[in-house]
Amino acid sequence: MEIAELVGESTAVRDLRQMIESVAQTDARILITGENGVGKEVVAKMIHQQSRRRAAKLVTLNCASVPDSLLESELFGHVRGSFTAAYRDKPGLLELANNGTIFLDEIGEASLRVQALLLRFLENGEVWRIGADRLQTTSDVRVIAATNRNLREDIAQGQFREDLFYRLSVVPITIPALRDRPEDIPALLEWFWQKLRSEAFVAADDAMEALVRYSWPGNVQELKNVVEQLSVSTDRPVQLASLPPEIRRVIRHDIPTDFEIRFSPEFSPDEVKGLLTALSEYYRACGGVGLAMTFEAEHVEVEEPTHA
Amino acid sequence: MPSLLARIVARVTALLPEDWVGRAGRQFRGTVANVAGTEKLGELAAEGVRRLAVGAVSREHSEALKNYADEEEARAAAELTRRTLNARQRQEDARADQEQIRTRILRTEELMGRLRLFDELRLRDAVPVWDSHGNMTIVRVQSGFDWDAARDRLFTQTDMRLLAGPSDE
Repeated sequence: MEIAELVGESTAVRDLRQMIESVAQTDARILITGENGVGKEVVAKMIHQQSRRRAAKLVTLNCASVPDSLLESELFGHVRGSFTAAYRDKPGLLELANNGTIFLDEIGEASLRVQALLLRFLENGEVWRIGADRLQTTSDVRVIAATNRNLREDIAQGQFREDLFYRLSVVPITIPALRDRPEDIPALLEWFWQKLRSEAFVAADDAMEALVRYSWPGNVQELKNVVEQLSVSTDRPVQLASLPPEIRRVIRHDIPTDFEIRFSPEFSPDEVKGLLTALSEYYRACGGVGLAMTFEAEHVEVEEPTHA
Repeated sequence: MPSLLARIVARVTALLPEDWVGRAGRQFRGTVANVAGTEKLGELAAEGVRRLAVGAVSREHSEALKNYADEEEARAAAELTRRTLNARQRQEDARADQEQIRTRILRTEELMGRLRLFDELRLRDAVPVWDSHGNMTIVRVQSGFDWDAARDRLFTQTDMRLLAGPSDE
């Protein structure tokens, strides 16, 4: 099995590695959260590979990729004749992962029925195949779940069981978005490029600047796709013109050092002062020297909200 | 019926352009953009605003805001002096461990600044939005705005641990 690893030396990544190392030594259930493409599966693999269960299987199931009607069968298995297509007995993934780890990706997509069945399994480890009239087996599985959804919000809306949330989220791990750790971008570019071309990643200065400044809404997965695209379509050094337009755009427009801050008319001067102070202080806390300001009044015509 | 109102516009210049286009500006712009979680003003507030004319701010506003601008200028000058002194100190004290400590201090300062900014915005139900020209509009959002989601966008788990301080374990 390929060794999973987190690339980067930012504080966030170093902290994450440390967290993985310590939770891997336990059997605690883990709920991994983070935006799409941040590497939730990589983190799950690392936990399994560093755990005492590493000799057994890591079974992965993406709950969003299986129709709800089949999800129960995938997880718990079925006995012959339990439904039309059940020609033979089939063990579920929870059985197959015995002594190992199961990674349930996109757990927020599971139906309330599957959530209830999972909860029962987490409470007693019992696996009842669909259609079975007796207990099939018990399974000793470490459960790692992941989601990009806000499960607390789903709980409030009755779409996710609160009791299951607390069972799964014994150790919550949040993976930061790539835009929050831009210092890792050069290392990630190098890592993916090396895997594809076995040579160093070299880019023109403006191209590298654009790659680092881009916000990467699709996170590491998007970066990986861009590297794959570049590796077949461009020569070294990678030029700004070779980058996808949305990345090129961040450098094409010079960032103006002059800009306006417009306040909605309902803010009083004291409020404006308070907000500007907080913004200026934050800019200095980021390492900027400061912001110079002058003020104007803008006379505006405001539409009254219409009421039904 | 449309009503006529005056709103304050701050014309801002980032001192030291290299800060603004570099890491400090990037961090600042990214954080501010993350508060709203959208680039569409209309999703946050009914901003049915038509600009009519630009003029001087009223006398009472003018005095308060001018004082503020002067104070801000003085703070920027002090920051520039501090930075120059720090650079000299760093040259004399360029040990790797001290550099690491400095990096941690800068990160903590940024995080505390981010927290203060978030608190101030939340206190006033104010949400900033950047437009495609690089200008910012700060609107008053309605009570339905999800500040918990904004906090989650602004602070990672690592940030929260740092803010909580060292554990007793």
